[in-house]
Amino acid sequence: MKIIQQARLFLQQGTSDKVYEVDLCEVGTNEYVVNFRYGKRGAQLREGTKTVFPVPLAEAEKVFTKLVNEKTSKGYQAIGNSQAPEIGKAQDTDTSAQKSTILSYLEKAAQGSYDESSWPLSRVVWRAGEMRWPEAEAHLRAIPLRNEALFDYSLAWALGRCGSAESAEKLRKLQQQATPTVSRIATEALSLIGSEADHQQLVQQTLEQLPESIREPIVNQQPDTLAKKLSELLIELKVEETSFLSLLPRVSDQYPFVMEVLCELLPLIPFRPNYFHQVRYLLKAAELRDDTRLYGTITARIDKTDEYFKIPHWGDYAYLDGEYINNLREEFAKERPRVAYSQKTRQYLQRRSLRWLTRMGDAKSSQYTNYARDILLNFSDADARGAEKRTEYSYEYVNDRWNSRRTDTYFADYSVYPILGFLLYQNSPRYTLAKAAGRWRCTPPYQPSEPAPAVREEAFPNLWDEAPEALVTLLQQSHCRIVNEFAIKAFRANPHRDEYVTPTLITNLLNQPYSESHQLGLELAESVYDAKNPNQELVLALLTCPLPEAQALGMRWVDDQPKTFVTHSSFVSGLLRSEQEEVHVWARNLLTQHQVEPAQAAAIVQEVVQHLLQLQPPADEEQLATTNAYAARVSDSLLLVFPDAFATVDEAIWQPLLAHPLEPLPLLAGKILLRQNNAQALSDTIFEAFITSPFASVRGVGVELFGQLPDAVLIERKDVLTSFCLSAHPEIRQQVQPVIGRLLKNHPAFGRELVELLLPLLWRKETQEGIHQDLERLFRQQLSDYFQHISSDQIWKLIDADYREAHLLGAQLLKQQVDLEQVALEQIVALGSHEMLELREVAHNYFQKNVPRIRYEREKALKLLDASWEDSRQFAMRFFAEQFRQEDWTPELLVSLCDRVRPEIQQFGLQQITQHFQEANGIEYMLKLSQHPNTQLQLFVTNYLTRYAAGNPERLQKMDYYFTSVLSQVNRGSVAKQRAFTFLGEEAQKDEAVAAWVLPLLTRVSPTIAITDKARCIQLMHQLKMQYPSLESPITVVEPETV
Amino acid sequence: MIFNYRYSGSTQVKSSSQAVGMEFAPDTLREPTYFIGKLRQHLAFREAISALHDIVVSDLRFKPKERTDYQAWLAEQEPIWLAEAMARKEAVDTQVDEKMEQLQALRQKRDAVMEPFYKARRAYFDFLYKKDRDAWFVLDPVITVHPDEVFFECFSQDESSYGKLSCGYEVFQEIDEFACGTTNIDYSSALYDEFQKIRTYKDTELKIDPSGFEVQTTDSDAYQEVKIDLPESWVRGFLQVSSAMTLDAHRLELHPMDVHNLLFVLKRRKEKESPRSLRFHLSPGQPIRITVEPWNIDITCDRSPYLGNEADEIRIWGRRRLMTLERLIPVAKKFTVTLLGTGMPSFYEADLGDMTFTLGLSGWTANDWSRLGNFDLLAPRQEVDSLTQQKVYTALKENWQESADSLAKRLELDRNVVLGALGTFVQAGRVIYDLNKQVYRIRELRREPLPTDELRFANPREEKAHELLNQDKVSIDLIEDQRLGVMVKGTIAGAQREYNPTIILDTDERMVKPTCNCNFFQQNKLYQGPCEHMLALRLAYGKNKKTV
Repeated sequence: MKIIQQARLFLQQGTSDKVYEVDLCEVGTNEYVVNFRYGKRGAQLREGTKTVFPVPLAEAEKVFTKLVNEKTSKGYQAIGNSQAPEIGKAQDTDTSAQKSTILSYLEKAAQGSYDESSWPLSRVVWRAGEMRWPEAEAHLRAIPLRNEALFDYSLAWALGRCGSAESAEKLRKLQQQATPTVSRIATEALSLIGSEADHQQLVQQTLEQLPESIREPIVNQQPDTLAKKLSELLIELKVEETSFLSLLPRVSDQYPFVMEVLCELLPLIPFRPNYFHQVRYLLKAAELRDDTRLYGTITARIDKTDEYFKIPHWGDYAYLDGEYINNLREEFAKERPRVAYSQKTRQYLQRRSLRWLTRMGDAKSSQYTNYARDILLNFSDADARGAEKRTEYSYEYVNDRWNSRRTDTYFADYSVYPILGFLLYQNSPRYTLAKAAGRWRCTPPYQPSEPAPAVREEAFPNLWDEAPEALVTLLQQSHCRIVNEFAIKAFRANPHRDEYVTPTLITNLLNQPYSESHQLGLELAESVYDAKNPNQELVLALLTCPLPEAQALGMRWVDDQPKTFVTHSSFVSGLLRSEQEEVHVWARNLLTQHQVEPAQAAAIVQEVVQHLLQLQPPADEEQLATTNAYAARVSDSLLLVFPDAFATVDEAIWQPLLAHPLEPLPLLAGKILLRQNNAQALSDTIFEAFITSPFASVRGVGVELFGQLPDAVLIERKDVLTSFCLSAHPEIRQQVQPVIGRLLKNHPAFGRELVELLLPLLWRKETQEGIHQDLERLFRQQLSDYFQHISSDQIWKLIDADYREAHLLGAQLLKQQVDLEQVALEQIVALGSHEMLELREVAHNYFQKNVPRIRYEREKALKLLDASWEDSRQFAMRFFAEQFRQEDWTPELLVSLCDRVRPEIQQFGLQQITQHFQEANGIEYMLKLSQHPNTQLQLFVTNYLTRYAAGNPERLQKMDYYFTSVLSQVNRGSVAKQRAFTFLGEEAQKDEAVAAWVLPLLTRVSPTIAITDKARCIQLMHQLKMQYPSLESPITVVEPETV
Repeated sequence: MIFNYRYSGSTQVKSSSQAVGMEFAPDTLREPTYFIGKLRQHLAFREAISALHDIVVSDLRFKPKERTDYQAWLAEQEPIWLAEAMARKEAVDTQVDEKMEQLQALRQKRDAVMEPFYKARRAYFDFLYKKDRDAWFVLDPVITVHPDEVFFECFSQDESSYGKLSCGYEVFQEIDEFACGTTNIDYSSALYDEFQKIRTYKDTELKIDPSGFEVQTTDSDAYQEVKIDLPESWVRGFLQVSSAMTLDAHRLELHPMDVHNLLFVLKRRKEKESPRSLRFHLSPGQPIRITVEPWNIDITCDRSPYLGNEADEIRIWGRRRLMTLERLIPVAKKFTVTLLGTGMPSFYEADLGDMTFTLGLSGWTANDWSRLGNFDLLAPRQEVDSLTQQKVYTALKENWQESADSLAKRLELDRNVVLGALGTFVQAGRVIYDLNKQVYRIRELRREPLPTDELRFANPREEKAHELLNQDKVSIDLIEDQRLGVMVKGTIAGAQREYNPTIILDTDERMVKPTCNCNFFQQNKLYQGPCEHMLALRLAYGKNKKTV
């Protein structure tokens, strides 16, 4: 289908705004149709056709023209036609027409001839008040009172807004009205327009009505106390009597800080019974007074705060805190109702605010932007509720089947705030207010993640164009991303914006967390900057803001002409105080390259130090670290950039630094003093202040400072130096070491004394962790010349100590001082079990190099095989296998090798026995090894049995334990058992004496449950019984029964 | 319970190819006790003292498997399994394979990088393990020197085995000097290694060093202060086992090979299901028969007839602890077994000639509530006034060791009174009963007297249970054999109401699935142990069974 011709018509008449569209389309070859759509502008249009069946072109054109003509004759106009009225204009005329109409109505009413049937007079009066037409005052004053709450209320309200002191009399009458609401609003109005005397009296009255704890701080002008008292009453104590809250605006003209305090407090006050109606009074008062801040705070709060309770659709009850409250009407009428702020109240108040804002905007009131600004300022990023997607399925019956249709509805982050949405997105193509839900939903096809359109979206853009200062406020103060987006867009489009660009604005923009703000800030900075006459303040602003691009820009500008900037003391001082680390590093370079005049330098130092002194340590650990790092950076830079300025810095400057609770500052004081190099002039209390400082670095500097004292003074105070070596603070111990080193060059006696005093501490338990380590370093680095005063006893004590540092020093000393020839071999062998590899290696090396001595003292040397370290044992086995000869190995030594507990040493022993075996010693080996508790060795011994034990009853009897043990092994050593049985059998058969010894042994073993052993026993016993019938034996031979 | 010691130096062993010298460092805080002698019976002493060491370090409690490695592996493996399960299609499979290969390569790389670290860490832990091994021993052995013998006592870490090695003075030669008394000695695993080196051809000197008691200079580094915090349950176990020795019991004698056979059976098999007990079948004049459950292997001790007068059957648990006796088989002449009854402590004395080794075992290896002894071993047997008690103690201390009869005669007191007083001292750890010589001996377990009253019960509920039983408030309603074991139901009269606990005793006499309608059980289930009613019912059932 192809559109050939189209007509789009519209009609605006009174309240109606309609469109009518006609299409002429080609549907086939020479087949055309004419369709039309019509309905309200913006709403869904209804469709219809003039040609039920397609017609030829000529006929279609006829139908088309006829329809269009028909409509135009009814007043429709074509879109794009310049005659189409602009909305603004129409409203414009409307406003002035409205004004004259309303004024005329009021005039009639004043004369008593107004006909209320179409528009109640109270509404007319209210409208006049809303519009703040001063012309209405005279009429309003003339309208008589009616004793009718709604009307009187409107009248008081309207008089308050439009009126002047002349209307005070009328208001006073209204004040006397019985209805408290009327009386209250009349009082409020009177406080606005009444005479000075009225005013004073009212303030006095109000003050008297306030509770004393509130009144006092107001009268005494103490905002902090007032805030504290209010929050005490309302938030901590949760008092029931809260009426003083709504009285506060009345005294705010005389005590402006009251409003400030109230607005700070309002976001915290619970919207609950006893509290909420006061908030409501405050809202009315804010409207009446056009107090935009109060209004904005409350309205935003309503937008953000969910209802306290829900009124159900049906029934006159509410469910609250697990309790049903029946008869809500009665409940509301009570003096202290238990319910307040239902969802209905909330929705009503939202609607009311929207109407209020719309009317103001429609009326082009300059107040609109102020209201909007103050509402917007009350929203922040924390209010974002997260984007949301809702999917709905609907079903429709088409062509004999049910089709499902899916509808996705998207909601953006702030969709739940109708008022916020109105202010920011009233004209947006991407959001639409879903009235029933009270939410702003995304207009399809827009989805929350897509970019914003380029067009202005806010309500009443024209008004914003006239209010650049409101936009500037938002740009600087708003903590809400979408508000900033709006403000930036509006500010960019603002015709007057250039007048409002200041360094403060730029700094604030750069300090905002939003990249759009940064972009704008940078653009503005570049547009404003004039290289010929650079604005120092602006450049400093760029350099001190957290945005890297801005810093880079600032640095570039300064680098272009450094001299111009460096000559300004305030600029340099600001630069040094910059909290930006990169800028700081850069500034350090800059300032070292371009020296500042000495006269200036002193002033700058003074200023920066003063700034540092004002820093306070924050309680938060992380922040403290940041602050410390900052202070350290700044003080380091000072020392670096002004190397000479400190020589002359006097006590007045470094004294307060020393006492400051932030670590880098006393450190700076110390460094200043170090630089002045005049330690002698300092009193003992100063040293004490340094040494007892809570900060390690400061104590370190203190010791360094102490070390600046001349040698003569130091040697007198050597006790102090020694005590520094053992201080609980590591930095003191470490810093004092070079001082001691310097002193020792000329005072050897002190060195000897130190060695004597400190050495024993190394083999005692340290009182503080790290003392051993520092002492060891002190000995190694400073006291090495005095090592000859250390005795070998002391060296061995160090080596035997339980501490690693003692071992380290001991090892060094052992190598340097001790002649191992003079040392007992036991001690050298003990080194082989030392934890330190270095010392073990000393033992190994000694063994390697002194083979003759080792061979001579072989029994002692062999103990190295028992070393607790694998490497020593391995070494020992290698060493003995290689170095010991046949004559070194006595049978005792070889057996003692096998007697050792470690299996690998036993193995080594067996190897050596086999290797160095001498026939003559065979019997000894057999007898001695047979006592070994190990089954391995028992098995080994079986090898010797036939050779050395055969045919020797005496020897056999010596091995009684051996055979009993072998044959009693539980479930192991079966080979040894087999061999023993065979051997015993053979021997017993040879000799009756042996048999007499073997039989009891077999008798003892024979009850075993192990079948093989038992069989073997019985067999042997039987054999022996047969051979030696005289021997006593438990065996009785029974002839088998034959069949 | 804190035990304080102060050793002068540490125990030292000097061994060479010809001689071994052992200098034990005694606790200098206690009254001087010392002994110097040379060994005569080397090998038997070696084996016996090694067995004692086995008891010191033994811990046969059930230890759950270490599963952290497995868990780590599982965590690594799970995604792989998941991927496998997900990979339905071939394409995905190949992709998974590819990734797996990459992952494998990465892991290999990681392992290669980390290997030195792991190695070093293992080496470090091994080092620590070795260096600190002495810290594992709970309580150093106690040495007591008496005019006729020296004895060593110890108790295992798992609070279930008691060992005592008494050496008559015939074991030694050249006894120089001695002072009677009890002391702890500094004991280390190095010492065990040195024991292994004892041979007949080496002179072995045993020296409980008297020089340690000489007044030393103030340099306190020469002393080694030891503070051991012993669990109360450990002390309770020790006292329970010691006081069990004083009870009447069946005594049987076993041939060393009978013990060999018993250990043989245990060593060749591993029990994976209950019951895990030994059943001693005793009938007068007949060989003792031991049934090893659950395999029901009968060991008939043909050379060891039962000499008692009444037939009986006694079940003993925790039999793996008997492995300690293995080294004693070749050197023992016979084993004397003392059985107190089913589920009660038992004692095994190895007769090594002039030495006697006693192994005492509590009823079960784990002394938890489910196996709570059904006999209050620390209950006062007979009330004796403290003056008489003191008299008996002083009299005994004159001779250090004496039988109850001789004491009664000497003090002219009733035998039962003397026995009652001695029983109290045994329970307090101040006196022990020597099963072998049937005499009482002075042995102060701790320098300060032990708080017997605090030690008697593990918790107040146990105490209440005994109270209920003593007041006859427990009645058994039903005893029924079930699949799990014997179910016992009972009624217990409380102050306000009746309680109806039900317990099931399984084939190992463990209490399983007990329930009760009391508040304690309703609130805590079994998280804090059983309530007093269940305990009382169990005790009543045990008593009932004994009388039947």
